[in-house]
Amino acid sequence: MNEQILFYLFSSFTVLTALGVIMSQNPVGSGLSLVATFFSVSGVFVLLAAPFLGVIQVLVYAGAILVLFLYVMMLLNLSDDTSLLNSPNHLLKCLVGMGLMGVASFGLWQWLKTIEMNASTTDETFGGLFELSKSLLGENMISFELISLVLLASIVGVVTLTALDRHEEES
Amino acid sequence: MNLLFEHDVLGALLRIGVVLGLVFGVFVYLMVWAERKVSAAMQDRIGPNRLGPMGLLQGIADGVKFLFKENIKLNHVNPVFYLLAPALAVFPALFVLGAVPLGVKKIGEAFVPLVIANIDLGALFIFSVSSLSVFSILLAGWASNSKYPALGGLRAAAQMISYEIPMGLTLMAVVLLTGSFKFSDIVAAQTGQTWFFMVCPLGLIIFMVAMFAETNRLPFDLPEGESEIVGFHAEYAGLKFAMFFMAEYANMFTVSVACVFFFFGGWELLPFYSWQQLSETIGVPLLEHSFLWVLPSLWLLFKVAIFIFIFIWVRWTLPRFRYDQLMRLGWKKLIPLSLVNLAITLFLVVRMGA
Repeated sequence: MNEQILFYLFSSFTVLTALGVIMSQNPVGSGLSLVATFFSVSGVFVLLAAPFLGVIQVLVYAGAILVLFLYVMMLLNLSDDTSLLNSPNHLLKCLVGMGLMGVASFGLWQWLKTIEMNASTTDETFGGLFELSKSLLGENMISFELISLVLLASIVGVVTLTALDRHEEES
Repeated sequence: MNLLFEHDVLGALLRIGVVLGLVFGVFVYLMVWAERKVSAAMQDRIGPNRLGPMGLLQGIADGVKFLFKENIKLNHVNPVFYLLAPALAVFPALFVLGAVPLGVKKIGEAFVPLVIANIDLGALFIFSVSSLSVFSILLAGWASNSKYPALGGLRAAAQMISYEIPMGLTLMAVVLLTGSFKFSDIVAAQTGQTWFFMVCPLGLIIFMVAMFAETNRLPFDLPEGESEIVGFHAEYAGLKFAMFFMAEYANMFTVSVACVFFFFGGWELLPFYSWQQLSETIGVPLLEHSFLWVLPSLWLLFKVAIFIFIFIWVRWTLPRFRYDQLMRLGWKKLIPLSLVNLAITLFLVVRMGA
């Protein structure tokens, strides 16, 4: 019962703040709403018996990535009327977005029908640190390492690109 | 899903009230007083001595002063973001206390830590929630709509993100030694044996340096830089400034408690000599006693007080780092060193079984 109340609290807060991200007239307001969204999503994660995911969500997304987003926004000094809703052909954009959303939800629905919902997915150890690390560094090790390789490659790529710029400026 | 509901709501509210009251009403108050007194002693001054014994009531006068200062309304700021910034400073400082244990009591056979919620990921929770405090600084600098605070806010945000990395990597070494993020497990791994500062002294040094940088204290107080470079809260006055101020002291308390738990055995008595052994020696069950169970809590607070003293001591000993020196120290020295520390700890855990 308590969990249900908390679930509705967190999920409605998530939806409200996500709306705030796209409705806000101010880019920094959007960024801050996104922080609140991540924060409430982490609450939903905790309720879904994945506390580690929830804490990491706050640490990585809210605490690190969004700080860099806001950092850049504050440096760029964007004007207030860059909101999506004020742009000229917003009806077309809305329709395209809703169409994509429809395709995505149809795919999700098809996938959800195939999996069996049973109690064994939420036993005592589910979502715990040991099970998560066993799964990440055991059965899913190859894909886990591949993802970190992709991240490393992108970091190296960014550094190379910015270094190229600087090199050209100097010469 | 017994993470949140293993205790009743009323008891939880009571614990929240006691912990927040203790930390914000007593510890932060005493820290501000100690800061003034110790600073005065180090500069061969007397310090506050008019209000109450040894100037202990000075803090109340300061609070009243903050409260009754003119609430300046700035015309050039966006009021929503401007007022949100100090609130965002206090929120993580309060929220993080939910997982900070302040002592232990033995009930039956179980050791029950005195904490609002003894969550499995306590150490990680503290780390991740306190990383949110950077938003308040960034927002305060930006919302002030003024040059110096804007530069100060960006400077502070870059500093806090940089020093979070060595801090997190050092925490990983502690977690490797413990096998758990839970504070009671971290203490249990140090009970009656070596404390972690003996196992990884390098980790302790890195953690302490990162601690000073994360709480914006000298020698890393560039975010504030009161004497020359002017920081993110230059446009804040009165109670709004006091909120930043109190959050800073609460963060100092939190990181000190975390450091005591990670490296100095938490509430435990001495390395190789636990409270349990002491109670067996003197024949009094200390941890189950009706009032002597506060001894571990007081011992923990004593260790924290030593750290607070070190904070103040360092403040009046070292000059401020220059910004490029700060960044070089963080990225080129501390991060490689903390990786070395992690590797050494990993080696110890694998070879010795820790």
